[in-house]
Amino acid sequence: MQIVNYKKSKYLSLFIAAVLLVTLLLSGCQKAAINDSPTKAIKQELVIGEQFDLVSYDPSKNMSDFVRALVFNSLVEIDMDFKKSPGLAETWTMSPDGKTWTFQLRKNVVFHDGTPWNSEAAKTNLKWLANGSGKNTLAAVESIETPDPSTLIIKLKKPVFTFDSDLTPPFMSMVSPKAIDEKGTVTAAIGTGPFKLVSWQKDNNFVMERNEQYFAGAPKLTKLTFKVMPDAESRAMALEAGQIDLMSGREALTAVQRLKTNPALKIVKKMGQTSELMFFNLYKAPFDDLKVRQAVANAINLNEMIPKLIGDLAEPPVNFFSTAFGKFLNPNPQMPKYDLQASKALLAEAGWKDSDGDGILEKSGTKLKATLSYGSNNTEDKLLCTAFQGALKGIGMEVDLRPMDTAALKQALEKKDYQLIMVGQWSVPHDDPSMHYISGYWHSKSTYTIFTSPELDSRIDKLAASLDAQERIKLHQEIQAEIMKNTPEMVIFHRNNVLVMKKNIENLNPSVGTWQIFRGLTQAEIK
Amino acid sequence: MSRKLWRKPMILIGCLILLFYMVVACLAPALVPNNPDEIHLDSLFLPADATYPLGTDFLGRCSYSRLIMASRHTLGAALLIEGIVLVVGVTIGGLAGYFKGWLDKVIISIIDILLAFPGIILALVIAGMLGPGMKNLIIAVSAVHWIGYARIVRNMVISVKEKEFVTAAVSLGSNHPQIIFKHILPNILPFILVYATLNLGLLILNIAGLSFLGLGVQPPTAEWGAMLNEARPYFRDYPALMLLPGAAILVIGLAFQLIGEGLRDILSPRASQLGLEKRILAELEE
Repeated sequence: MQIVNYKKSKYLSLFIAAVLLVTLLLSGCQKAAINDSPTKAIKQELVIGEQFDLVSYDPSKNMSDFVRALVFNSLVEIDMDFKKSPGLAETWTMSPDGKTWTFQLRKNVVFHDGTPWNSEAAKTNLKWLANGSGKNTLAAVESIETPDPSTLIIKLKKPVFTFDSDLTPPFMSMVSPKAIDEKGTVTAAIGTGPFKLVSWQKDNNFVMERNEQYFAGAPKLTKLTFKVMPDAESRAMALEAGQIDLMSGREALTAVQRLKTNPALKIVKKMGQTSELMFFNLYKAPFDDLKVRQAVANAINLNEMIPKLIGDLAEPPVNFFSTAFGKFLNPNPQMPKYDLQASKALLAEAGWKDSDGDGILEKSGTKLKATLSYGSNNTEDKLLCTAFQGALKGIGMEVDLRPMDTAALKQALEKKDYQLIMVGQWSVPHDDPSMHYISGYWHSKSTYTIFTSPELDSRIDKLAASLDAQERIKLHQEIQAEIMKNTPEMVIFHRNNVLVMKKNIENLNPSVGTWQIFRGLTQAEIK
Repeated sequence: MSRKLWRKPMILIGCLILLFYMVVACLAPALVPNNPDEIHLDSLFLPADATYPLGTDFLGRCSYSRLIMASRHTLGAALLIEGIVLVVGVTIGGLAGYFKGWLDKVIISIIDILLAFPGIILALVIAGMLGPGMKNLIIAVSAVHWIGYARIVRNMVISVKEKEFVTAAVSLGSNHPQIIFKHILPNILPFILVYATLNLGLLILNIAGLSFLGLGVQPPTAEWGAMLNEARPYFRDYPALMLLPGAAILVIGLAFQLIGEGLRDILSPRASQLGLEKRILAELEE
């Protein structure tokens, strides 16, 4: 009896499997039925597919980076082109000793809840930040004075010549004092920005409406609906189906390439401020040898790989940093050139030869092997690492790939538990890249000490203490040249900020600052 | 028995498919037209042509060569793991069932604890702790799959040990090894075989599954599960990159299922003859 049942169930399951298969195939064929609606009065409303949820109302903590700049302003801001620009402070001056900063605040500005913006509100915010996320940035603050409603004087314990730039990161946003409770918790997202947050359904959507009283002029768009869609492919499909109007190309490698060819859509891109880097571990063989590092740098043809494999999401490396840092960059950077002959010659000079004919070089009995660690959920890096592995095999180096999750990758970088490691550059939202050397990678007291030397240290220290703008630029360029001469890293690509949208959206440009990619919505309109 | 075997079309089809895979895996290096790992950046996503019988993938590698070479890694790993779990599982299960007592209690509690976790999750945890790589994948999958063998073998040994012919052998003065190898093992071996065949299909799925999650072989090595994972972002534009390795896994899984089920149908009467309880047969189905 049991056997009979079993046979029946077998046919049943075959039938179900067939039905499922057909459904699967059909669902693939289905095209979006609802497309452009008939012409009505054009509503200035956008639906945006966004990877990240709002997370919280607190811009100083974990509120999504990408939308803070729509709701909040800072005292000093970085504009769409990555230039320092006035935010809620109109002008500011630094005393000659760099210890007193006087800010003239914008007048007639109110928060979304009607609370006036003035020096008291600024003081409340700075005090709140000094006990929270702004602890390090504001550590030097001695006192905050408010002689009149539109003047803010900040006295520092020691000179900080980049104090104005230090106020630009998104976590330094100014929040309505009424929205901060006694415990320092932000109870509502109330800022002065171009859009007001009107509703938020966790993990589903959040909606913004325009701020009619925005000090730089109200935006043309009246309503923004952000639909939370973590998966890039789902966002792309929603855009193709017309369910959303706009998405960011962030982490959407293949989707962007496909959407680009869709006649109903257009893409805009701009080089962002961050780059992808590959560090060598200079403290361990074989990359303690400059020649081996140079050989690797010469063996990888980034000018071919990046456009072919990463397409619009990145540009091949042109300098030490992205061009966003314009004036601080060395005008004639010595970027490694793709040259296989030179690469092989360097390895031979370093004493590596293939004595057993297996295609992998050896030196005193050790094979030329290396591990390459990268973030396992980073599609671009994964693809490039596989391509690097192939390229390096060509010069006789065997590379083992080590995919890691984000936390493990960071730990490996901190503990120098790697030989080669590909990571995204720390993206300080700061127009001056000094922090990258001082606390990032290149000073002996920095977090990751990728490469350090007494000369480099002294230059970096000098930069931290320098006030003269010309001298600062010179020091920046010297530091970059000194680092590049030693090849402790390879700049892999400069990441583009990409927006994909319906053709009827005009004047929408991505900003250079990755964290404020949607800031251009302030100018955009639907035609 | 053997004539019966070939009269079952299920088994025949399964065996033919399996034979085909085995031949392909053995002859793989001779069958591939291109180096499966070689990257050609100037020929990404090419359609099928004379040089690349199934086109190229997202790094310009020959899809056909990769598909063929992958058979070695997937099947090789599956057979290796099968060997490991067969030895470990049968030994542990056999000892527990034969000697019973405290040994059985300890072993059965360990098995029960491990069975409380879904197999793939346990393998995932172990592979996650050990880190990605083929060796670690083999350890992780083996650590999960011996449990099934141990439990089934233990139950079968307990049933068979109570049969008259075993009692007879004991009274004739046979020692433990004689009883185990001459009387018990030959009787349960066919059932272990069925279980092993069904399990092989599952093993291949597990290997591919873990590789799909990035815990198995590492690039550039081709493996069906890893190929599926790598091709995932390109599915909308180049579905063949995912469908081909997917089909390869599906068909070999089907082959093992057909063989295993066919064998079980044949063995069913024998099981009742031996007085093996129905639940053992039911367990084979799991």
